[in-house]
Amino acid sequence: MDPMQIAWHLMEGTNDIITSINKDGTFSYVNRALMEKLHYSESEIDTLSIGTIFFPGEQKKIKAIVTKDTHEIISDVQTIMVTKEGEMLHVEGAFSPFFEGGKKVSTIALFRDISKQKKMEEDLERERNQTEFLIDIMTHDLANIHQEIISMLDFLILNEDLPNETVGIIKEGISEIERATRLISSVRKISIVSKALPDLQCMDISLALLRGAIQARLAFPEKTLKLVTDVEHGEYFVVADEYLVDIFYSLLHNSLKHSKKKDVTI
Amino acid sequence: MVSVMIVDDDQFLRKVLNRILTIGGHKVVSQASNGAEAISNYLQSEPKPEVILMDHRMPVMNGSEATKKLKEINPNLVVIFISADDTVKAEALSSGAVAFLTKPIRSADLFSILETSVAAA
Repeated sequence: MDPMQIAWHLMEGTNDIITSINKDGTFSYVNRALMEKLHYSESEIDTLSIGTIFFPGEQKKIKAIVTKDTHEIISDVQTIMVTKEGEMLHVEGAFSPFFEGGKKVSTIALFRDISKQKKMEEDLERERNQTEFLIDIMTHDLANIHQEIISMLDFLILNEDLPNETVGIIKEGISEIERATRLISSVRKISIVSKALPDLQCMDISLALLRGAIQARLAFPEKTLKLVTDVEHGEYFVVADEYLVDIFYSLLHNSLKHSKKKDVTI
Repeated sequence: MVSVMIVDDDQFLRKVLNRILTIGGHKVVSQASNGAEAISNYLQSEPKPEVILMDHRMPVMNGSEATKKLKEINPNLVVIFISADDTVKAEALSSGAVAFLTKPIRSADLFSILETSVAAA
């Protein structure tokens, strides 16, 4: 088979949009995929130009590429085309200059339809924002409810006539509410971590470990924690964010929680 | 005894804090459900509260904005934030608050921070 015939079949058989754009913005070639995706017929090809098939805000960028006298292939260009009816089509592609007699005569452009991918990204972003919004509401409202319960229990403890056993039960209740709050706070932190870039800083591992240990100790007032480490203050540093302390806290909290001993050594 | 204004959009929480502060020997002189109402109530209240317990997330005007405006009215006013969202701590402190407490807080901690903040002011 003639290589030209093979090339022709490839260009007309593919679902990617292939076109040859003249310097004046008209087209010397458009493939079947372009006509199908943008809903034009063969009789309308001569009427097409950058001004008709690209989104108005994108036309300047495309014109700049096709008029630039360069041998460079410009790839990974994301742009927006519009169908005959005005619907947007997100595409990604590459522009390859075509020279004849040392003079650029046109630019061969190949585009892949990424509309579905774009829609999925937009849907994902919308879902993410919605989730974050719901987590924010949950954190705010539940924290208020927990505050109210803890304050009321604090109020109850003030009653000196209460038996010690009852006071103990109330204190355990307060501790559990505080644990629930930390759990909710952790969920929120995870949602923030997965979205935002971390605010990294140089952190002393020993100090982060100590801060985590102090928080873990407070969570279990009935237990003692003896932390044995050969890591000295100022000895080891890591690039991390504020959640390093949360990691140590969670590790030590789990150790204290699951240890059956009253005096826990780690 | 410290005179206090409670600013929080949760009506029941204001009621509970009011009760706890009263039991702790303090006096709640005013309450507000958002930042704008806090400013309005502060201007009208007489005598003025020594301390404002301020939530952050509220409708109309948030706690940080309200604190900035209140500190313009009275630079010596003591504002203590009580919020569930500790990611706004830096914003709250830079708006002029002297302390930031993360909900839920224990009554003893609240009394302690109230007294030390007023003594420091």
